[in-house]
Amino acid sequence: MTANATPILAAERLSLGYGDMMVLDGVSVRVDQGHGRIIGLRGPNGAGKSTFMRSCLGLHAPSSGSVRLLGATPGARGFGRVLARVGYVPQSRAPGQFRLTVAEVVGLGRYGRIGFLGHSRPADHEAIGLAMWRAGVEHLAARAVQELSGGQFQRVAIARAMAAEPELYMMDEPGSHLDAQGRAGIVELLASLAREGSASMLLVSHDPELLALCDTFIDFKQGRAEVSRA
Amino acid sequence: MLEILALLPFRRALIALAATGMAFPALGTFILALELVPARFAVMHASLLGAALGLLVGIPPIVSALAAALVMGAGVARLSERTTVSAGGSLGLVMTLSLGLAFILFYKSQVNAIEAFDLFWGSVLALSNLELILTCGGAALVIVLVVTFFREIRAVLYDRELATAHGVPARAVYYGIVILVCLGIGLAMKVTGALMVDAVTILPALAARSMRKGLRGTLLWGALFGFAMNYGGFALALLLDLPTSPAIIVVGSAIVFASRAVEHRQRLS
Repeated sequence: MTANATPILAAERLSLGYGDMMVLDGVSVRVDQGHGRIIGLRGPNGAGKSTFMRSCLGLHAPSSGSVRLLGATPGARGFGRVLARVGYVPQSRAPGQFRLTVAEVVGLGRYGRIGFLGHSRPADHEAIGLAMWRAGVEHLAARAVQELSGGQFQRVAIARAMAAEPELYMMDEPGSHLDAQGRAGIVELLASLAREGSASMLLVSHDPELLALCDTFIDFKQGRAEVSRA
Repeated sequence: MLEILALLPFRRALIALAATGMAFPALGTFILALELVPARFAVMHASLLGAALGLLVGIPPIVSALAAALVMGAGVARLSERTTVSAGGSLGLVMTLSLGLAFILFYKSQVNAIEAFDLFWGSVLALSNLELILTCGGAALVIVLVVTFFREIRAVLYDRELATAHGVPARAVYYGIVILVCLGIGLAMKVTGALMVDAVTILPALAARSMRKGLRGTLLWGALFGFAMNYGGFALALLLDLPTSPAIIVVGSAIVFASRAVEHRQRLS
């Protein structure tokens, strides 16, 4: 595999924090396309893995330094086009009060492909249907997400990411807060995505089974990060 | 009953009630989904202060109420990006201060008591041409914006952060929604009064939420309920010689209770 000129992600002296408390302090890492398909972000709780991922997506502004995702700086003009190539699954959280059906939530993942003020076409409906089928939530399409179990909701989140037909998945603890059966289902689903090999994946996890899928790691510890091969 | 249609104030009232009844429940849905309930209360009071200022300096109260609501809307949008606790405290302060200042203005400017009460409970039968045009224009604007930005609004109502991660201009959409809500509250003041704006926003949205649909279904049900509440309330007010806004609230509350009962039965079955 040859390294592509555009790295999946590159951070340069990146510092991230919450108020005065710094989580990452001057981190410089670079993961090229050729480094591997599944990149695990690992480290103890509070080491900055999720904050780093959120920063890559423009959801958490750096205190200093810079980060680039697929060659673009979060928040910069045109970053929306990069986000259209990314399927993001945030850390598990309960759905809000606002009632949406499973199909509507999975359809949100298609936003980047359809674009601002765009209209969905048959290909978009097909992609949404396929994502629901692959994630095993097709039969729940008309159900409100508030009525799902934790495992079902997490599958819906992954289906939403899949509907984007991304070239990069960014998954933050996709198997957390699930019982053994639910977690096993998620592991199997992510393993099938990994086997398929059509997209790279950044995966935040403590789960040994999920981390076993990874061929590259970014290890976070005491405000620092470094890249290693499996 | 039909002969009242020959009277201009009644025709204006029916048009305004239809427009606000069908369009403004969307704003109630946004208020509930984005948890703007305390914020909308502050905007209602700021609108009242704006209207009091309008009466003092001799400009149409609806214009000054709108201006106050929009200024407040921009402030609310910025404030709500901070923590909930500080935002709640600040809104409480603004709300109380607005009410206090409004009463001082009423007292000092010796506003006619009837005029002052009109601001509190509305005077849909005394709408001027300007007020009717502004109300219908605002209602049309709500519908056009909701239809145009439907996908963006749906994404932001569901999860602002996730919407951002999918490339939705979530911050701009959120600001737009909050300002639209404030605009609606300012406009609804003449129809329902400053303190009963919920009659055309929250009540139909609550009833629509009980129908357990997605956003499109909720908005359509809201429009239907809003129309029924406004016309039902207006008819009740005429029949029993009641003030219109409280009558709308009574009918609206009854519809909310009925919709809750339907929801409960659906859950059981």
